[in-house]
Amino acid sequence: MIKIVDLHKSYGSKSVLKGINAEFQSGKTYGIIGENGAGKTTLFRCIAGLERFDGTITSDLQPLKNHLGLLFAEPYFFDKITGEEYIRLLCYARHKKIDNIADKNIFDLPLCQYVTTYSTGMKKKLALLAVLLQGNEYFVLDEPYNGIDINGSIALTEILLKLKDLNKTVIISSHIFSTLSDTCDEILVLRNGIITETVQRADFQKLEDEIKGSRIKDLVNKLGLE
Amino acid sequence: MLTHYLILQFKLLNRNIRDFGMHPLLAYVLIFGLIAGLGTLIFQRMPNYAPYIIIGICVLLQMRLSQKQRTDFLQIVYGNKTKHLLRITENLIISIPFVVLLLVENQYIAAVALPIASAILAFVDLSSKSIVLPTPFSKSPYEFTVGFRKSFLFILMVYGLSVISVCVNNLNLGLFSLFVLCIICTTYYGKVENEYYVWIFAESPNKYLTHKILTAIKNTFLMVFPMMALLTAFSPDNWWIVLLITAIGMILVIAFLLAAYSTYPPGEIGFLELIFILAVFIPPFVLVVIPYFYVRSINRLKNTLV
Repeated sequence: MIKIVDLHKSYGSKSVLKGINAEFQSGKTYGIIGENGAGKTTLFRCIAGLERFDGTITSDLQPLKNHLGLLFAEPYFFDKITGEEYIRLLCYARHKKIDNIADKNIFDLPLCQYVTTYSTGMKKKLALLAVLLQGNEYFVLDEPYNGIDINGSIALTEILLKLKDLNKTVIISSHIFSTLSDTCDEILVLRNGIITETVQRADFQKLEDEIKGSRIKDLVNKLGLE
Repeated sequence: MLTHYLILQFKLLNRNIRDFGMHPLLAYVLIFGLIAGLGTLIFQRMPNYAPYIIIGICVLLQMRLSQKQRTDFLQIVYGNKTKHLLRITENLIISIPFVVLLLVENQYIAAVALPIASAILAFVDLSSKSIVLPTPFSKSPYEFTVGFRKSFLFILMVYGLSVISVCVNNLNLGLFSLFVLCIICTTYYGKVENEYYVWIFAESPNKYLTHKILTAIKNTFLMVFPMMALLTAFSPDNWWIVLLITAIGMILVIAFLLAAYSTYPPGEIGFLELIFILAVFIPPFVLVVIPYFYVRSINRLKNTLV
């Protein structure tokens, strides 16, 4: 369980998160949606303890960061490091011994090659695989589906469902609504630094219809495409 | 177009130097000082091989700009003809201090050959899909794994130099090689990693730093051991000098490591680099700054590690 109470975060005079309250239960998957700049990544960084903030974030396992698998939307990789070395580094950092990496390479990544030679999707798969193999209890996955091919996306959905079965707490963001509706128990809508709605599974369709609603059509019409 | 590109590159270089925590002007003075100092030393110690070594160092630096990914980008943006012009210009700019050094040392043929070689190298694209270089450091990530691969050619050169020192019966040259090898190891800690790679560690700042220092000592020893063995076998009476230089090298590696983390997250230092430069040039001072950098590093890491 992760509990966020009255979370505020500002960069200088710019207030990004303006009082977030949320509770993420074990064995559930939560989706966070919001427009670009709504504060999703900042929220994730606060949960991970990468940002200073006002408010409190607590968890049943302490410290939270040592049990958290964090996947950035654009993972950073060193030059001249192979896929296997990257996985070993992440597991080593959490004192997790790992054998038979090849057997666990479910995405068929060329683990003996430098990561710099990977495509965008392969890099995302590698970062995800490493975070999964760390043996975390909590997962914060920022845009995990971005850049991943169809087979990878199907596998990722299965992985998320498996994590739920294993009683893990998963928070993901995605701009592809179907990926959230397939995996999440609740979707939190983040607008202008606050959570404006918490939508239960039964109301996902309604939320999607709202998103697809007139506002977006109006915006497209503004382009004046001919 | 050419001027615009070069000005942009100059700005990017300055940003990188500032990110490293140093004023660009100071960095340029240091670089030119280093080239002049090292070059003069190489000419003094091994006059017969010095021009080749100087040309080799310059070409190695230029090769860093020849990565295929980079040259492909230049081709897409500027077209083939301008790309070659840009690459020739870049390589010639890099060769300037080395050409000056060769001219000062009256090596006129080498001074002419270097710009020609630089221009030819501008037409070479090095594939980034290079063969993965195995390293003995993969099990204790990551600085030495990455650093070894990036500096492999330099390491080969320095080891070559140590072998030459034995062949020409010049222990001083061997000791110099040993020291340079240690300096190469210090560069692996020249920049603090992306915050994610600190954050992932489930360790306290104290344990994290201790672990880093022990890994640095172990890997530096692994790196220099064959050279230590060679020099000790060549001159058994001077084993203690070999050991002393290795110890000084290791202390410098630790000092670099701690200096880097004392600026974490990077980009906030002013006077620290001056302290550090003082420490490098006045070795006993290193022993004073190490505890200072250690305490400062712990404080800096407290924001990321629990």
